[in-house]
Amino acid sequence: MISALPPLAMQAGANRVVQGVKIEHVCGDPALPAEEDGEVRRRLVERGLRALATAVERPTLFEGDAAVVTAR
Amino acid sequence: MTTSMNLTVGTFPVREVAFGAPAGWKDGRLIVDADRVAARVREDRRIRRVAVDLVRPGDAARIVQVRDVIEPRVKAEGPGHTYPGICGHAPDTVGNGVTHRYAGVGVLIASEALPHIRRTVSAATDSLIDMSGPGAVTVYSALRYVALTIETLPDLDLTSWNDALRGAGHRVAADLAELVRAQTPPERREYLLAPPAAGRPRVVHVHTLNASMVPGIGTGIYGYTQHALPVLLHPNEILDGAIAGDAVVTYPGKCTWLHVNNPVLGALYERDGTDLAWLGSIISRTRWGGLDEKRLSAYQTAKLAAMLGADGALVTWNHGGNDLLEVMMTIQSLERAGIKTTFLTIESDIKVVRMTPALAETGTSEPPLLFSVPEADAIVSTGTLAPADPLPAMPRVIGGREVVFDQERPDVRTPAAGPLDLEAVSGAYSPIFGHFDNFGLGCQSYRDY
Amino acid sequence: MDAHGLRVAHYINQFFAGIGGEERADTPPAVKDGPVGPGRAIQAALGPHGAVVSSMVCGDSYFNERIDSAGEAVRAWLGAQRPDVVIAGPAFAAGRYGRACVEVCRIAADLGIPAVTGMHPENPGLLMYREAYVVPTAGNAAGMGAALGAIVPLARKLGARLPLGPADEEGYLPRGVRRPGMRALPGARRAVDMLVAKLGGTPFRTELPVEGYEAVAPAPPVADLPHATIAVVTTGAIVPKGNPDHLKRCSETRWRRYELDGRKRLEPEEFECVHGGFYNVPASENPNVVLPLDALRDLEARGAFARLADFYCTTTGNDQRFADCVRNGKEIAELLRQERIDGVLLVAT
Repeated sequence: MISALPPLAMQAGANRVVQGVKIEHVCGDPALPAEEDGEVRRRLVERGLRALATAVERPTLFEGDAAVVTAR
Repeated sequence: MTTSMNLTVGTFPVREVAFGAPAGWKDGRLIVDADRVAARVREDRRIRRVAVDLVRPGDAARIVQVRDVIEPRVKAEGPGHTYPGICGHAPDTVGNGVTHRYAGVGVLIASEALPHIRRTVSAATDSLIDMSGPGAVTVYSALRYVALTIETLPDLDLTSWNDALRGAGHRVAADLAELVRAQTPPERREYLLAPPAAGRPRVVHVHTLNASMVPGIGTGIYGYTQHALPVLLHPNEILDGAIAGDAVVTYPGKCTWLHVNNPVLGALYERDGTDLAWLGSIISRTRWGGLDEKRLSAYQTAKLAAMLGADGALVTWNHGGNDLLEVMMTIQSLERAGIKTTFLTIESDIKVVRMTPALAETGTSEPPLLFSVPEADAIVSTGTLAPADPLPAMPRVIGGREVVFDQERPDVRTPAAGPLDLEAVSGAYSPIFGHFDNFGLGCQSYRDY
Repeated sequence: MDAHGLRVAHYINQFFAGIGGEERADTPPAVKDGPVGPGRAIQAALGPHGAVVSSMVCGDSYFNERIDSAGEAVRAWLGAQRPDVVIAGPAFAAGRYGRACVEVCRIAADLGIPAVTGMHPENPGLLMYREAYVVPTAGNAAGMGAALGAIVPLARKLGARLPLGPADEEGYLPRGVRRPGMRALPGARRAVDMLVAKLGGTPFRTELPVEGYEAVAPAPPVADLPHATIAVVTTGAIVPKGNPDHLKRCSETRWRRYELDGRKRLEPEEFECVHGGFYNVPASENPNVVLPLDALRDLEARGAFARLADFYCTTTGNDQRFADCVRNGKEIAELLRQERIDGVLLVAT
């Protein structure tokens, strides 16, 4: 799950959580130039994919930027 | 820490309102000059048309498209202007001197949300006040109104529309209050905080206040509506109208009248100097969009309370949904700073959707609060006022002819005069204005069974 | 009820029946006529108003380890006795006994027979069936007198099918059911009173016990991400422009599926955000900030996963009823299972 409010998501039982940017724009930042906004988005989605591939036992917040993808 | 603000509030009770001339108040009777009121409203060229109506508690009447209710208050002595910082009023600090007010009467602004504003601001819902019958459950059914049904130019943008409506309401309210500026009020009450003393726990009122996520509108402090770090107000500033609403957001029953009549202020003043020492009101904005912003607001509020030397905090809020995160984080931060809290709250919005008794009951699967922290161990609940029964037909309707219950279907318009099975037509929040009693005016609550 | 008043059935464990302690905890269920152990005190308390007509004794280990068999025995017992009310325990702090008592109450409720039990407020048995009527007791049998003093009057009311008042008035623990009701003083006054009490160290009772959500068992991880099919779902109310299905801004009960038709990104000419709980203009100007299609397509092209489902699901996560959320979640999960989705990205606003 990508959520702007991980404490709420985790209290409600979400087990794999990624911190989004803000409620109004969870996966991006319209204040940034398009390319940087896209970069923010891609990194969040990557983090989400990494979480999907990770075993968890309880609500877990996924942070950091371990790459999921090896560029072709 | 002593504070020397001293406000005397002179009250002119209103037991009857009638049209006539000259306008004035005498022995509980308020005479309103309808032509003068209409002329004041039409001073703003953005306003096309206005109808002025008088509405009384107990009338077989329904008021729709309610945008705000304003209690007429005027400075009789001392610095500043009541409702400072808005409508061109000076931003000078208020809370001292003498303020005159009417009790039991409000200037009500009614105007249907323009279609583009309906789309932009979800909280600009169509709300109603029934003056009698099963829907007359809120304090707003017990006030006398000088109701202004206003039609603006159709293409006003959001801030202009808000400005036009709010300005009209405040012009009329100021005019009415002016009638009694120089008169001797039959009732007088002095408001000042006793100096803190040993043996009395020091208490702050943490008055968390929603800020609109839509820019340019919302409840303001001296007219400042944006999200901001917490600020300390003396309760007298609130009594003088330093916190005022807008004319856009009606859900969940925010209005200007409620701020100057906030029962928490009276309840704290009642005990100040005897079993508590009230230090003041910390206003923290809520509904920040970012988690770190919510945290910042919570941490700064607790720090401010700690710097003031608070032992305890009475925490309130005035919205729903994600605001609860920073409110709960504020409670947590206060408790972690050693400041004991109580929390005055409505119950989760979700229950309001179900207004029939069997469905209003929450089962074990529905948490009463969207979010909580373990430190929130002292909660007073005002439940919800949304009535169970369908609303009857009303022979008289003020404010508009129809009501829209689903903003995504604005073409589906329900006749306002007819019977209204709110559960069936709205399936959403109760459209009854003020059905959330955030500040605990009434005795209604929820009980555990 | 009969000429002798209330017919009470009483459930107790091996210890309170006088059979033995832990070493006899595997005692199978047995029915006895009349009261046993503390059942005698119950009978005395009932006086002319009723009698303990039957007792069931069962070992705590037996009940907990063979719950189906024990449950059947309880059902048969109550079915044969048809009591007016069942009293179980009290169990005090004994966890297995507490669980057994609560299960007895649940079976009784299933059979339409009112039931009441008693135990310490921290007895884990309480978690098994929230709707049981439970009188709070001390941690051990030293509190038996007080416990029965509260249990018997409640049992009489329940047995007479009288409506019960709120938990704090009638002396039972909150059952997770809340109903509108009036209190003596206005809320603002009550809030100040409660603060003064809390600051002064005098007892007070919260009007809203804070409760958590149930934990959700985590799904196992996606085993082979580079070969996985991923879907995206959002509660951010991203809909085709014009909102053809009239998804509500708040209190929406349904969810919707929308096809992506191979799109690489969501364009504002074709999609918008109708969520009513936040300023939705940024999301309408670039719907990808709520439904990150462009990033997902990019990662799909780069081999992070094999395939993105060519549709998405959405609802409006704004003041929805819990029951609707649960149902929607189940339905969406079922759809995704049928579509052989290996993992789903849920974006919440």
